[in-house]
Amino acid sequence: MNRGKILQVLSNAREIDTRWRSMLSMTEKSRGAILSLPPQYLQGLLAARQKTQENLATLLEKTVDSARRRGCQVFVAETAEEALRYIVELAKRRGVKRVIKSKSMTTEELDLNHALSSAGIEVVETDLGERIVQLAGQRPSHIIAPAVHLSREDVARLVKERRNIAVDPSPEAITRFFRKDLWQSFQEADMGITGANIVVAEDGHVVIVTNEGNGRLVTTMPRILVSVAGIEKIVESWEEAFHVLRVLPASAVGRDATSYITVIGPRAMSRHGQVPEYHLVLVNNGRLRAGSEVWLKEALRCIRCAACLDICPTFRVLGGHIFGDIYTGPMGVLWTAITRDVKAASEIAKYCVSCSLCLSACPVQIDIPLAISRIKDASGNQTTRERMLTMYERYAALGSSFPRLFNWLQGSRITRRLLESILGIDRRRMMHRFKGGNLYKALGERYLEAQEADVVYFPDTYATFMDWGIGLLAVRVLEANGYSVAVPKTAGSGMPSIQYGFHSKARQIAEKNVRMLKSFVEKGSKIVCTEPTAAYCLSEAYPKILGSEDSKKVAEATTELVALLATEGKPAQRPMSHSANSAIFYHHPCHSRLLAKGRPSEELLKRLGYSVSTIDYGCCGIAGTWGMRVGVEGYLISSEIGRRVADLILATGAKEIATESSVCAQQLRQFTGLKVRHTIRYIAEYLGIQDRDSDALNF
Amino acid sequence: MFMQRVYILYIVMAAWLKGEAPRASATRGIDSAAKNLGYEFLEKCRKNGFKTAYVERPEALASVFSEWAAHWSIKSLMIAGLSGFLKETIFNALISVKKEITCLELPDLPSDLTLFRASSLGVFRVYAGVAETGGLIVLDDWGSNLASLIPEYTVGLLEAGEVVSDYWALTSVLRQRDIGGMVIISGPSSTSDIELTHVIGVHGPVEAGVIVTGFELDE
Ligand code: SF4
Ligand code: SF4
Repeated sequence: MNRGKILQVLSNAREIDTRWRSMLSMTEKSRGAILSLPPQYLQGLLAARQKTQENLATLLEKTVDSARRRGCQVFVAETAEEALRYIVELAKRRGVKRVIKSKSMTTEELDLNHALSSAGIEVVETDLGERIVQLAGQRPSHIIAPAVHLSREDVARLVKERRNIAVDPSPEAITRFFRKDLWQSFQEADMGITGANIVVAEDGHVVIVTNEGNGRLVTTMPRILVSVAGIEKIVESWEEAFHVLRVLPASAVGRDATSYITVIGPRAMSRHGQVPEYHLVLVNNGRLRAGSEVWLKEALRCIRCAACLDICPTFRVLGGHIFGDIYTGPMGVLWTAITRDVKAASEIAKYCVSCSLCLSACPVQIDIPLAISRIKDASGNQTTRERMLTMYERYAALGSSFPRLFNWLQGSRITRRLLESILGIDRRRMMHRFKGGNLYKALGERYLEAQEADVVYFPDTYATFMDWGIGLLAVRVLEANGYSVAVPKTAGSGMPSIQYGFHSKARQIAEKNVRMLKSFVEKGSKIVCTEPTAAYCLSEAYPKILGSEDSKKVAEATTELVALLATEGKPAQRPMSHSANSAIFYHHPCHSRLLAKGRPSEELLKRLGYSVSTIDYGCCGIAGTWGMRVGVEGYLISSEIGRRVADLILATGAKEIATESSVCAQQLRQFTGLKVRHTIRYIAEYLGIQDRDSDALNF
Repeated sequence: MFMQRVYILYIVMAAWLKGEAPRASATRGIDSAAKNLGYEFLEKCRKNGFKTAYVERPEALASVFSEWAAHWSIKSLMIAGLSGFLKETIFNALISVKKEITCLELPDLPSDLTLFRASSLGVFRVYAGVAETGGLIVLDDWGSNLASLIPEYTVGLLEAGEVVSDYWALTSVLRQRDIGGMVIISGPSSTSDIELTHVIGVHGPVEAGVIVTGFELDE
């Protein structure tokens, strides 16, 4: 990807602000709507989409049979070229001069407009956003809001340039203009082309979901109608289709239903009531192959709701023209791998910060971050610096043995320059300081050698080597709640290896930790973590990487410490100290979202009497070591997010921040200038447990 | 000066020509459960941006149409799927508030539908309503499809007993009938494509209404 292009985007603060706010509000709407849906709708959808993922070839055959039985002309295109040839030949044979299209990402994938135009056929996009990007000579930057990157002024200017008409730069006036401008095309077009949101295998019907009414006009007005559908849109039955129809609008636009759901059959309701000529083109183009790739097949569940785009921190900053190909954003990385190749996908994948928010937002639970990690792994494009970052734990262990030296090195301008050029750690990034010593030493052998306990504490790198005060507090708080605790020597979670796509190394680390923890789990222990990323690795990533029964057992037993205390803990009533009176902002770490419903930490702090507020802005932008790296694949993007998050936090009037992630703490402290503390410190304070090992530099 | 009131009545006869479509409700009487579901449906429709009304008697239909039409600029009318009596009721209600209507009778649809685009009202028969989402179903009826799509203003009519609870209640209809096409309408046409600002009225109707009746529509 052109670095200059990225720097150009990063220099346009207004564009980033607009996108940031738009995506924030889309995420909020979508989350609200999804939460209000009956859970069985989501379960039904997941089951339906898993069925498609596992039985794609069979369902394709069934669809072809039933659509043909209904009199539909069906063509299965193995490749994009075959699909293009079929449609262009058909248009030529029927003397088509003008085609009107409703929104379709599959036709974008095929580059159908180009093929038709090259054959001398005029193509008019009729979805407002698609029409705008068509006039601009661009491609959609967002799969459901194609022109979200353009301002109202940009669009008004475009209309003036391309249609020579001056329109007021207001969404209402622009919309009125296009309503009038496109009407003649609807009346005169010979052929209509639609995409498909669903294809129902049991009877071959195609379903499209729209708001503007253009989809209905495209299916009603012309004499020839063609629907182009990626074969992953197939569901077996109407019952399953209804699950898609209930969840898709909620996840996409935060509504119960879009304005129009059009079911197209071979006797679509054309304007003369006659049977139009109807063709269904089913496109494979890599989909069946993806169904046999363990790490890619989940993408076939995608219902194109765009929730993953809206929530993605990288997408919010860079937009779809950089963080994407034809398909944009998180799902775009996977769909680039399916419809193009892994190498093309890895070019986009490098901007993924591995926050996992896309997984938390996806209504069909596609593990996009892990698939992206596999894409990085398969591409072999990882850099030496990335390899060095996977050794972060060794660096931390060394730092804890020579704290003065390391703290000095991290503080000196000259060594920061060296660190930047060798390790690629941006010199502007505020670093954690080393306390000296480590958790295992501080706790003593009793915890290290315990063979049985109610709870096993998994500290991860930060609480082992950097601020082991958190680890001590975790053990003391657990004991104050009546739990016996063991702290066996485990490796760090290995997140950098997952993040940068070093899967064999990630596997080794996962195997080592699972081996260590499984004997405890077999004896009924729970595993608790103070670092959300560690809990994510144990409960989400390891079972998928290893696939073993042991890793699944460990996953089931794992929870975040604060979540455990929120559900099971019985903290004694004690008088509150000063913190109860100061305004605390709670930052919800990305990885915590996958582990528990709601925000247990915030709820617990409130229950304990602290004054806590929060805003759900998503990722703070650091994402482990990613935001420490120099350049566009690190600090530059990370700081764009960090600054915007900081503005939101500071506007609440908060005086300090509570969170559980050590790296989020680093980012929030750097950009807000506020004190950031681990939630366990507030709980310990409430319980009257002395925090002797805290210092001003820790969190 | 030759001045007279001329009336436009453009009636799409498709539903009659095809024969009456079987309705969603099995029972024709409207009990209190059906009425409640009807109200629930209308409330959802209202949230979706429809104008809504529940009318108990045929005579009350006229006042709803005259009230709504008073706010709309209507010069032509497209009606689909309704009985002669209802057409007359609606037509009379409209001319009571709109005196400038020109009459034009056509045997077939013109190739240019522009006449029925701006300043036009479409009234159509809804096959069923979906209470959970506030959706109006138009099934296999190209006349109702046009009347609910082309004009600037549209009104759909259905009986309270034709409201079903959710989409799944339609499964058996979809299986039993070899449907040629179906539309579920859950609001006026809209877009958020420019800076995500919600704008009503894109390629479909700018305003849409729905009337649930406590009496049978097809008598
Ligand atoms: S993991 Fe985070 S950064 Fe990566 S694609 Fe998903 S949301 Fe975007
Ligand atoms: S990957 Fe999931 S969240 Fe993203 S568009 Fe597909 S279904 Fe929606």
